[in-house]
Amino acid sequence: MEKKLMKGCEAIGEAAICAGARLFFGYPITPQNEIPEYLSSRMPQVGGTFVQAESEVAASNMLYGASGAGKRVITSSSSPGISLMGEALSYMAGAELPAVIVSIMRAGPGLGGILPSQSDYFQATKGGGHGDYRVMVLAPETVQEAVDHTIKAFDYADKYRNPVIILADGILGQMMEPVTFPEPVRPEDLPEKPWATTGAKGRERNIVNSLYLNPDVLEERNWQLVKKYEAMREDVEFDTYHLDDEVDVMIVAYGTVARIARTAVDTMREQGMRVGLFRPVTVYPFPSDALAEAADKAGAVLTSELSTGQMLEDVKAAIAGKRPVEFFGRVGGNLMAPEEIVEQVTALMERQGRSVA
Amino acid sequence: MYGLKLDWMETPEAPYYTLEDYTGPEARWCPGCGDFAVLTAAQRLCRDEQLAPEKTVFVSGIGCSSRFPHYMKTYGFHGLHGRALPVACGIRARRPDLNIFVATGDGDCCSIGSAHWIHAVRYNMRMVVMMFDNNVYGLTKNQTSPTSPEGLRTYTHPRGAPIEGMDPLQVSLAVRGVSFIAQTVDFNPQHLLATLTAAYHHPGFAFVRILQRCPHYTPRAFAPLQENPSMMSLLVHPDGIDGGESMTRLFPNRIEHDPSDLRGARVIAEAEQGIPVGLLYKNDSVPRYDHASASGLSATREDRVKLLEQQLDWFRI
Repeated sequence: MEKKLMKGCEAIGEAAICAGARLFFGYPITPQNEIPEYLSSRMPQVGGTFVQAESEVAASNMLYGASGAGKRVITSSSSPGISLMGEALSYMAGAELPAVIVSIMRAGPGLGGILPSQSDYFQATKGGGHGDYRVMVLAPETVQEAVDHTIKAFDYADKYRNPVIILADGILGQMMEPVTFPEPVRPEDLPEKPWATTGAKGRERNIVNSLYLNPDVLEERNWQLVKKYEAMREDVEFDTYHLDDEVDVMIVAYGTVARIARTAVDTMREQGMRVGLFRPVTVYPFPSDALAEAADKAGAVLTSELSTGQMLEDVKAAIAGKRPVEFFGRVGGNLMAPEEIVEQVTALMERQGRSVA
Repeated sequence: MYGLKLDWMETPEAPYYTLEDYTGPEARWCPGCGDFAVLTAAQRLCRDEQLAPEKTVFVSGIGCSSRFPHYMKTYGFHGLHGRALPVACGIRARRPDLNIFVATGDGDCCSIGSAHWIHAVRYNMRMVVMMFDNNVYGLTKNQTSPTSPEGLRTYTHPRGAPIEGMDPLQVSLAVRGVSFIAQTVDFNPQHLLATLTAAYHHPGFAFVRILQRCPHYTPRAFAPLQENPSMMSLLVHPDGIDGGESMTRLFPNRIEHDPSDLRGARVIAEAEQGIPVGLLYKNDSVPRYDHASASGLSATREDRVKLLEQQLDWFRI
């Protein structure tokens, strides 16, 4: 298929159609309006359904209902709206229902601002809703990857019967880049969903439920879910840049920041500095083992995010004190320039007593 | 100071407040936005009623009109999307001394905040609610709102809104506990001010739907009303809203309507033709939740000690 030049949000919308999603529920919020707007015109063209709900609470519960009926479903929102979806997210995880949720992060907390941020990492990877549950979280760094992740997200959601979040910052949602789309999934190739509420003709009825009043039953169920979350590790993804040999500093960054860091690494490499980049692609499950292994070959680690230090906690847990882990973040909708990362790395190397080439 | 009566402070001379005392930073709405007219009316109301700025609070949710508190030099609370009314109820529940105004829009109030709206009408806590209805989401740029008329083309319904818009007057009038419902238009400053003034003096939850022009996204929503005022019906009654003599010229159609007549108000709200402008319903004797929620404020020290002892007696071993 030929290349198209599309905004991240629009490309995610088209990718959902490619993946066989035929139901979208949403509510307006900046900076992700282009997803519902794109799908409002595209869904009817493919026999799909677009509903603008009265709130994110309603949209996410419509998603819950439609998922229970066995369809590929998607919603999208941005930070405060994703907060409102926490309820349905928890229930869908509890009832083991697949769904794709696109989270285009803006700066918080509260109303915050509408400029890009990565401050909803905790919200996506550590909960967002209540209870002992996890959702798979994919963090694209390009519009093309956002497309690929959206398509993969539907497969993961069906594979694990669990919600999957696409965690992208506002830059990715608003930026235009060339993309290509794979052949659309044929409906007959979609996985069977024997658990769905499709009318109990000739079989036991299926009930969508997350309520277990017997503590023993609920405990067993929670441990079963944990097994599932652990199994997600087989789909862990990460990316490395100039980490084949030993480095003085390893930068850890995801999403747009990873792209900025890549430029910084190029600059530093030209100056002869031994620096590389580790980019988590799935941020839940977090590529802890690979990161720890990579850290063995690094003098120190610099985590860089558009937050005050959220993924930092996962990085520290993975490296478990074996290497110094420092942090550089910009927030409020501001971005870091590659030069700022270079400065941070240089300062870190000096503190570590390593020669800056 | 929270919850305390502040009346002990002595003021040597009562100050006289001018419009400037209520005028905040330069308002940033699109040129021609109806919100400017409401802002002016609110500032004039504050001046006319000599509301102490430090005793006045404007609460809003999210939306174009919810920028309102930023432009008033009073206290302000820029709240959450859809939650302007609960925030205002939270303030009123404990502060009988404040003048509370709410700026909310058709998205904020009638969509995401719709459950809060129904219950706020029912609670009947004293406040003035200015519901800016421009039939569209403006701040997020042209998505369908709950009051968008059927067929309105927006970015989320490029083929036109698929169903009829809701009528905020009908919804409010259907709630038991309703005590003040009025409708006005942003392009008639006199009627707008008279309506907000009547709402301010109402001892309860005063809901004012303001038909508000959005020249950017819904330029044709209310233009026909301006071009042809006979599409509107002015509600007239000695107990109604008196917009002055010029109203006779501006509104050729008039309906005699007693605002104590709830059934009549519902009939007017449901009428296919003639958009009502004026006071649909007013009832000063509907119970108010804020009377119950703030009742503890009047307790004396002795009362409180006695009640504490009674309470602890329950736990006697």
